[in-house]
Parts: sequence; structure tokens; C-alpha cells
Amino acid sequence: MIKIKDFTKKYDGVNAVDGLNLEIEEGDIYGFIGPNGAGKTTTLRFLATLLDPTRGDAWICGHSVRAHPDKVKRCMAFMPDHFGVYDGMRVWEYLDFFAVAYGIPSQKRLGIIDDILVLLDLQTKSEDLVNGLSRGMRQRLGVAKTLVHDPPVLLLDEPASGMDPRARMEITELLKELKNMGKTILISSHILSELASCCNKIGIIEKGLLRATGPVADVVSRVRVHLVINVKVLSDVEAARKVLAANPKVSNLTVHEQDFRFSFPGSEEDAADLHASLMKEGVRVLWFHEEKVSLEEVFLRVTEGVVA
Amino acid sequence: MRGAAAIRKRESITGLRGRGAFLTLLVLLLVLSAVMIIAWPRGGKLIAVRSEISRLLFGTFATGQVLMMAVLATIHAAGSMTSEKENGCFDFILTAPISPSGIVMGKLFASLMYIQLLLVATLPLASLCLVLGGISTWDILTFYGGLFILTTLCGLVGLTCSTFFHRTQAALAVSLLLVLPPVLTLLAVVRDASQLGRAMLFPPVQLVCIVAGGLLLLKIVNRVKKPFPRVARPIDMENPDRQKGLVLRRDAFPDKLLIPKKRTRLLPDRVNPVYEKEIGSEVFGQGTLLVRYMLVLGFSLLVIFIFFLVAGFAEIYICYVLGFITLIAPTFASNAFTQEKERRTLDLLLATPLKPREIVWGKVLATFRFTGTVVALLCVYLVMGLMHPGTITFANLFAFVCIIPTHMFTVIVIGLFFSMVFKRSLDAMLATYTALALLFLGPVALLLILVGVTDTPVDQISWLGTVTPFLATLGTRAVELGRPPPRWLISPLSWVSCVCIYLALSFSLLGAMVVWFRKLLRQ
Repeated sequence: MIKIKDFTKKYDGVNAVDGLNLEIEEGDIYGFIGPNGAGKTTTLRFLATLLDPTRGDAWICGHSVRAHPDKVKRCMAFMPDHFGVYDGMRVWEYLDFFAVAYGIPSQKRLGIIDDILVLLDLQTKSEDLVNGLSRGMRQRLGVAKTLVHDPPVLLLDEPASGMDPRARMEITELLKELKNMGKTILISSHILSELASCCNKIGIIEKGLLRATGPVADVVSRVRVHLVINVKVLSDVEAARKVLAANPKVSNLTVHEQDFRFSFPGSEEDAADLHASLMKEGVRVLWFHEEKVSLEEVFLRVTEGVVA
Repeated sequence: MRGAAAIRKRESITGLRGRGAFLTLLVLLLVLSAVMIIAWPRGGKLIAVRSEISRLLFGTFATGQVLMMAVLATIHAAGSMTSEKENGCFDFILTAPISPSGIVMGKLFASLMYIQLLLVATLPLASLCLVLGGISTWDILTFYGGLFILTTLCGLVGLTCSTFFHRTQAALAVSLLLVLPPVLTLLAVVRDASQLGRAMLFPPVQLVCIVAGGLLLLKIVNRVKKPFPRVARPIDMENPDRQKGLVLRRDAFPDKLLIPKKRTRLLPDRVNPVYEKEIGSEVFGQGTLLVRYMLVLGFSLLVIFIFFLVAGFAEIYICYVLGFITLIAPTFASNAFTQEKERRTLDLLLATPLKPREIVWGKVLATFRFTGTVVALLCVYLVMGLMHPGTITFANLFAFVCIIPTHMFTVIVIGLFFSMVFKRSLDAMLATYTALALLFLGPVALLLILVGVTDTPVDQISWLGTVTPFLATLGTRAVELGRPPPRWLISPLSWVSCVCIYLALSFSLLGAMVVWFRKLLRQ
């Protein structure tokens, strides 16, 4: 659905993005992660036909961004990271303006605007002036604006920026709903937990280079060197410590009251054997589980905090 | 005054570091140098003639200097507070340990410092007149002393508007409307601009200036002491029943021509959404205060110029209308794209499938409609003049009907062009006014210098009468009324060439804007 080939953008001789190649399939929610100045916004603006590349091209729904920007504009919607609103315009007028800009006939427009207002929970704000909306509400309006022409591809740059935790969760749910509707979404965000819960693929970009890309689980497994296991016991703390310390595959063991945490380079069978040996020693195990690698950790391991 | 130095230092550094400061100085010196070079006496002339020329030269130089400095001082000060509000930095200053008077004085000193720097930079050029004789050092010093007082007052007016308005556009428009009429009147009263210094240094005038300046400063400081609302008062909160002075009602004629009624239905199909957006929301998005000020000032000045119309000098009345357009139209046109850039709505607009010509044309039409309505209200008296024998004829009316919209269209297109080129509204407005001054007043100044100071044969320069609508307008009625035609006039039909030239210029510029749309708007 989205294909980027050798996209390079230079500003004053500095590569903001350097030879980016990327493919996003239909129905994907692709999370674009990177430090500030890594090239995320540059890439999104290029896809939104707002930026001429130094080299390379991209295709959205099969249309070249460089050769057919008009066709691309009709099949995608872009929400910038920071955007303003028009003074003296009401919420419904704002959506109506963009609907007319996309050439949607008036008999369809009313229904579309109503549906979008309901979807974004903005129906009570319909008659409010857009310049009087709170930042969170403006972000919602920004998302609403991207949906007026029902595009198959959405390019969202920091859509949850400035939103409170509840609103962020609602946006995450909305993204999932949009995915169920068959939309392909490219989303950049700094709030990685938010991406982890809704994206099926991620790409990590740094200094204009794509460091890692693929399904979330694949990227995580590539980053993970070995298992990290957490154990909590109800009694026999000393017995448990002895069992764990005796196992040659257990390293970096830390004990805090009844909680144990250690690295375990063994296989899943080896982990099951370790669990069995604890039980055999009569240790009452409350839980024994692998510590999930967070997207934050993946991000920190892949990147060096360098910007372009 | 606590913290004034900090504000002044920061403002001065950021102001002088930019390209704008250098370009303004360059343009100013180039224009004034050009005046000197053109008017400089050549050949072996008698000392008495050289002295006369020197006085004329200094007078012309002083007129240009007064006009440019008054406008520059106003523009610089008018953006000083509003730019902080627009950038969201005003809260930082208000919460810093800087007293309100410190903020005001810091801003004022910083704005005026650059203007005084420009003044000093032109001093060597003015001093060249000393070589020719007829002008003393004292004449030059008193002129510069008077100009210093005048620019300080203009700066204070600009700063007052900047403090009371939320947008640079509004502050600039109102402050220019407040400053230019008195400055032009002052020039008309003293006749010779080089005598401005003497007039300004006359004790009663000085007293008036000090009192006016003090009152303005007090007003500004009091305003800064009050907290500013974060969001500008939206249009719907403007209750016509609570408005003072001129009231605009959306449902009454002719007000609704100016401010259309708020929509209650969806836009019809196949309309230009940009035009609808501009006229329905953008122009009056920050309320109608600016428009009401404009109308009040426009009609107040009209009272003076209506006498020219009654006295049979309709062309002077039209020159006033043209001047009004030149002042008003850029405040909206040069803001059209920069406002989208500053507010970060441009990406939203450019990501839609709207064609460049639709976007540009929508903005041109909206500005044209608004300016056109205001100007039409001013021109109603021309129709009434038709009923009064000897005042105006149908032929005159036809000429004016062609000249005024063409002039308006040109001003709007030039404003839009600079709005596309620049990122900040203030820069775009400054560039627009500079370009308009060069385009409209440049030929007038050149003509006056060439005819008055040099020995250039009139038939060699009469073409200048066709390149500015002001000269073309003045020439429309000369022959008809049996007056001797101006020496520079090619023919009473010079206005036809003028209209054709300006239409060609405007459409070329419009075409270039559409073709280079993406390039000009790249951020």
C-alpha cells in the first residue's frame, strides 16, 4: 500500500533521510519510531506530497508521490505534528471546508460529518469555534479531518501529542477500529507504549537511516539477547535462592524480598526444567514468567540517541 | 524600568541579526542615493543656481526621509508586542521578573534604536547638500532632531496598537492609518519637509509631543499590567449591542456585503472552498474591531477630501481612494499565506487536492471582495457628483471605474506574492509596502526631481505619467475641464496605458505565483 524506495532528503548538505526503503502492506498499522530530528517528519511530509526529495520516490496505492501527487492526495490523509486551526470557524464548518476541498458532494457530506463527529466523540463540540478548543480536542479534530474523504491510507505525525492519558487511550482504540475498517496507517509517535499496543509493525529510524523494521515481535526478538525471568515465591526464599544460584544458566540474579530476577540464556525447555526443580525443592512459586521487552528498551538498544 | 535592558538587548540582537535589517538599510540607502545621483547638478552651474538646487534637493530628500522613517518606525513598533503574542512567548516575559514599564521601555528602545541607526546611516547622504551650498549644518541637524521626535511618536503609536491588538496585521493596519494622515498633513502644512525640524522643535509643538508621548506610554504600561487572554476574543463573542462607535451587523445592508452572515448550512457543491473560508471566517476571525477602525478612519478622512470633489477636483478625491487602497489592501493580502504558515494550517491546505490556482484565486477574490466593498462605500459620492454639474462626467467616471479596481487588483496580487515568499507577516507587509512605494510613488518622485531639479526635457520623461495610477488619475480631467494639462502628461488617455500596464503586471505575477506555487511556499 505504501512503498518507499531510496528516499533521500538533504538540507544544506546534511542528510535528513538517507536512502530509506520501506514497504507497508494494506491493513498495517506501522509505527515510526526515532529520536527528535531522526527524519520521521521529513518522511511523512514527503509521503504527503509536501516535500520534494533529493533522491528516490514513493508509491501510495500504486501512485507515485513525485509523478502523480494529485492522485496520491486523494487516497491518503495527513495529520501534521503541529497544526493550527482557522479562526472564527465552527467545528462542523472546519470539516465541511475540507470535505468540499476533497470534492465530496453536499448530499453525502452531512452524513459523513455526523458520522465522524460521533466516531471522534466530538458531536457536543459541533457548534464550538475551533480556535476555542482545548489542545486535546484540536488533536481529535485533526484526526477527524483526516477521515472526511475516507482515505485508505492515513499518515499521522504524533497524533496523541498534548492529549491526556484517557484521550490517548481513546485514540489508540480508534486506531485499532480504523485498522478493522481496513485502513493502512503510518504513525509516528514518541509515546512508545501507545505504539506497542496498536501497531503490528514498527520501524526505528535514526540519523536518517532505518535501523530496524518488521513485525513488532520480530524486532523485539532481534533485540533480545536472552530471556529475563521474574519469579515470586510465597515461602522458602533461601531454598529458592539456592536452586537458582546452583543453575549454571542463571546469571545476574537479584533478590528483593520474595522476588527474583535473573538472566537466562537457555531455551524454553531449560526454563521449564528450572521451574520444575523449584517445585521439587518444595518452593511455593506464585509466578514464574518471562519479562517482556518493552518498546522503550528496544528503542534504546537500537538507537544511540544521535540525530541527523 | 526593571529588566528593560534585558528586553532591549534581546530585541536588538535578534532584530539586527536578521536579513530584514540589512535589506531595509540597503533599500533605504539605495533609494536615497538614487535621488541624490539623479538630482545632482551636472556641468558648470552658477553658485546661486547650485544653492537653489541644493535646497530643492534637500527638500526632496527630506520628504522621502520623513515618509520612509515614519512608516518604518510604525511598522517596527507595531510588530514588537504582537509577535510575542503570536509566538506564544508573551507569557514568558510577563512571568519573568521584569516590570511592565521595563517591558514597554525595552520594546520601545529596541524598536527605535534600529530606526535611529537608519537615520544616522543616511546622514552622510544628507550632508552632501552642504557641498552645493544653500544648506547649513544647523539646517541638517534641526531636520534630524525633528525627525527623531517624529519617529519616536510614530513608534509609540505603533507600540500602543501592538499592545492592544492580538495580531500584527491588525496592529499594523490601524497604526499606519493613525500615523500616515497626520504625517502627510504635517508635510502639507510645512510645505518644505526640510523645515520639519524647525516645526517639530517649536516649543508648543514639543510640549504637545511630550504630553501625547507620555499619555501613550501610560496607556501602554497600564495595558501590560493587565493579563492578556490566551485566546483572542472570537467573532461570535462580539455582541453588536455592546460595540461602541461604528457597529457592523451581519444581517443588515450594506454591512452584510462586508461581513457575510454566519453559515448555518453546508457549502454548496463546486464552490471555491478557500474563498468561502476566507470570506466566511478568516478575514473576521479575530473580530470586527480592525474593520471598524478602518471604516471610521477612512470616512473621517473622506470628510476632508469630499471638499475636493465638490470643488471639481474629483481626481484628487480619487487619489485619496487609491491611497486608501494602498494602505488597506496589503494588510489583508500580505497576510494571506504568512498567516497560514505562522498558524501552521498551510500543510493541511496543501495536502488537499485543491489546485494552486484555486487556492491563489480564492485568496485574491476574498481580499478583493472585502477591499472592494470598503472602497465602493467611499466611491458612492462619485455617483452623487454626476448629479452636480461640473463636478464629474460619465467619461471621468468610466476612467475611475477602470483605474480603481485595477489598482486594487495590483496591490492585492503584490501583497499575496510577498505573502508567499516570506514566512512572517511583518516581513511580507514590509516588503509589500516597500514595493508599492517604489512602484507608485517612485515615478512621482522621479518626475518631480527631473522636472524640478534637473534640466531633463519634459517630452523625454512624460511616459512616467503612465506608470503610476496616481499620475494617470491626475491627468484624466485636465483637458476636459479646460485646465492646462500637466507638463508630463502624454495625453488625457494616459490612464488607459496605465490600466493595461498594471493588468499585465498583475496577471503575470498571478501566473508566476500559480506556476511557482510549491517553490514559493516551501518552508
